[in-house]
Amino acid sequence: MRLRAWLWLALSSVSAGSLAAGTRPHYGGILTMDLTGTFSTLEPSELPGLLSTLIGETLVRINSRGEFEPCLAASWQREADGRRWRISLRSNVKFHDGELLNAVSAAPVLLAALKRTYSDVAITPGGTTLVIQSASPLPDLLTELASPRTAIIRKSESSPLIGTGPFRVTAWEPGRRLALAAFEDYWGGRPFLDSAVINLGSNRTSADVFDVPFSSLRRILPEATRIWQSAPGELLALVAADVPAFAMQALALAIDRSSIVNVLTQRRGEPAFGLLPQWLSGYEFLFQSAPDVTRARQLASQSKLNPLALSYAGNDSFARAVAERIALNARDAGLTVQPSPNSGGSLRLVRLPLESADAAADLVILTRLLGLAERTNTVDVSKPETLYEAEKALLDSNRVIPLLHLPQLYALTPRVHFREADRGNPLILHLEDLWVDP
Amino acid sequence: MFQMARVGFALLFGLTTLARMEAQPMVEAAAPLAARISSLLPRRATVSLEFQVLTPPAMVESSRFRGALEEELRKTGLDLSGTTQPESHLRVSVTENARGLLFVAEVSGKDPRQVVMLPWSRPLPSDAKPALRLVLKPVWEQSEPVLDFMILDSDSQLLILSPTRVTSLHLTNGKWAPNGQAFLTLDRPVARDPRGRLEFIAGALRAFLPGTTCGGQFQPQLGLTCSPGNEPWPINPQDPAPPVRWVSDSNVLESAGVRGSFYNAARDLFASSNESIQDRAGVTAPGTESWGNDLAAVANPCGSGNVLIVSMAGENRARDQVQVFEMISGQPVVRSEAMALPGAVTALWPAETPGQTTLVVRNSKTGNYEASRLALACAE
Repeated sequence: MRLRAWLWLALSSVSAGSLAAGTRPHYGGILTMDLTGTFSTLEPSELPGLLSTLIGETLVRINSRGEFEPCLAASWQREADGRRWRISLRSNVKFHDGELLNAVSAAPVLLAALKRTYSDVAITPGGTTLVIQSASPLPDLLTELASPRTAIIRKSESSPLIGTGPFRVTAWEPGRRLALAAFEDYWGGRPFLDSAVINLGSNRTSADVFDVPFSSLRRILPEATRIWQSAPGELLALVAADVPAFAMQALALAIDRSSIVNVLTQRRGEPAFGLLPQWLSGYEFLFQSAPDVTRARQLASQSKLNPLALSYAGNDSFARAVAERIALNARDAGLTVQPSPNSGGSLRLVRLPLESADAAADLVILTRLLGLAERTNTVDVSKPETLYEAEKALLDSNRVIPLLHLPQLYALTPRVHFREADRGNPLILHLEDLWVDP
Repeated sequence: MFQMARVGFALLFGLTTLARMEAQPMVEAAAPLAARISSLLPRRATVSLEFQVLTPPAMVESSRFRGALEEELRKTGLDLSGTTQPESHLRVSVTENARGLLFVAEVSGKDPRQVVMLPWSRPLPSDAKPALRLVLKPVWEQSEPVLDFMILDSDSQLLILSPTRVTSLHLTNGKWAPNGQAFLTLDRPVARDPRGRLEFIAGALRAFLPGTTCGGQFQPQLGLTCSPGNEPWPINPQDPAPPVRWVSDSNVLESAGVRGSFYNAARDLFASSNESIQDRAGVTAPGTESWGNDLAAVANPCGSGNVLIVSMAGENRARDQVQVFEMISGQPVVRSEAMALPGAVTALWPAETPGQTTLVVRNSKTGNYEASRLALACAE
């Protein structure tokens, strides 16, 4: 099997453009960005990954190796079998309105966010320390504290969102336009850009940066535009409801993932045989299998089966194309699959984003999003076998068929630069590390 | 004038190899992996072995690892002699995940497939081999940015300047051991592209960062007091360039009599913030278009005068390179092969020892900051 090299943080040049190697970043300038999607709230958990940490930040974050590292927390201690955690806050962190971050200001918003996951959790603030405790152990507290759901943010009449992140909000038109300015007092160093203007629901290709959805890969991009590609961090999968195991096995053998990758993703995606991509788990190749239509036919002929309705998001033309190709593959195996944009089919085509490079946390989240009830709380990312066994159990349940792992694609004009060595979350483009030519 | 601490390269090389954060060599994974595999199989079982590499480590290392693994498997009593009807098939894959290398062993035979996995910290990329004249001597590596460093007190004291502190390390039994640190009280947050410079003159230690200047001593105990402001400092005691000063909240320098801001300077050439190499008047130096933003002058050990060590974009976009040039009649003349580096250059300064420069590279694989001394040797 030939595995792809890591593509994340790689710029594949549509044409040769100068990069920042050997040169230092410029401070200043305005960056424009057009996004095809829209959002109507600035809640960090509702924002696309690209924007979720720009305004509000979390106490900890997950680095490119899947390890927890300090963010607004300077350090943490786990006590009493994980029932009590002592979090020391980073000093001299300011909110965008100039107020200093301290335990008293952080505790209420953090408590409200954690209550959604841990009903009996309590927080005792003291100076620059937060003591988080619960009657039962909180083994995955750090994962929660790294989630945008627990970002430390405030709101006021004059600003829809006040955080501690590298950019502050200067204008917000819900669903249409977000304007950001560099936060001069950002504890991690002022962003290189002076400001950024993000237009939502835009299909234009004239901005400095714009997203390239898979549905528009064939579109001609402006000359000298380069494509930034994240690590493959979105799972496209088929999820079954009351579909017999033999039919799911037949379908899995009938689907030709390679042709979907080659034709529909223009080789930007990767065939998925596991829920977690190879770059993250290291073992996805163990699940790999070649299409076997003969075997699929044998399985499908075991019993008479009614046509299977396959639902996909009606506004997602890429998902529709994939669903139609699955239907063709299924027909070769003697199965009838009927794609439909209506919900409620016995098969669902879903697109699920990975949140971070923490494989264990991602597997837990995927399991929840897929509606599967398998136990994933025993996985330990430092012991890949536990992760493998948990994922294998999910796949063996015949309720999900991984299809593709998709990266995020952004087009960058030649005036936009970044340093490839900056290693944040490999799944997102870090706006705070971009700079533009004067 | 700097008080020059003499640094012996041989000593430096010996002790700094120890100081680096060593990753586990791949071949050392053979024994624990063989032990895990043998636990799945009966003693003296006949096994056919298949080996595949799904990540691109150096081929030599892969073949050494395979040899070592076969030897360790035999030690556990397994029979790898290659009989026509082996009882089990063993496939060992060298792969990687977000955390590093991963060895995956699959045992198949009469029973369902069994899998064992062994995570292994990724070996650091081998140090860039010096070209004919550039000699790289690793000194220190850490995850926090290294802005500058000095080796003082008869090579027994290493001072590391990081964005928020100076760390002192003492040479003990051939290893650098921390023996003090002084936190820098900064008036402003550290810049996103942090830079700084250490200076040691007549027993006085100073640290210059954009917006902050600190002064103190490192003996008998490291201590620094900081105050807001950008005091001037000499970029190179051997260089006739006027003193420079940082620009607050930025990564650039300025100097009286020099037009515009610049990233670095040497021998009256300035790496301007408008991405060209200029003289004081702002006139672009011809032939320097490929140069990056860092340059340092060092004495030519194989001739007279000075040459320039210059950072440049490497063939791999994520990795810079350095190369030696000599300015002759205002034109740069190549004086060395380019040396590929494992990442982007984040600091290039003249060192306190003549003939050497301080180089810091952010390794594009590990993300760590690798501090080295760069010197010149005569070509064969």
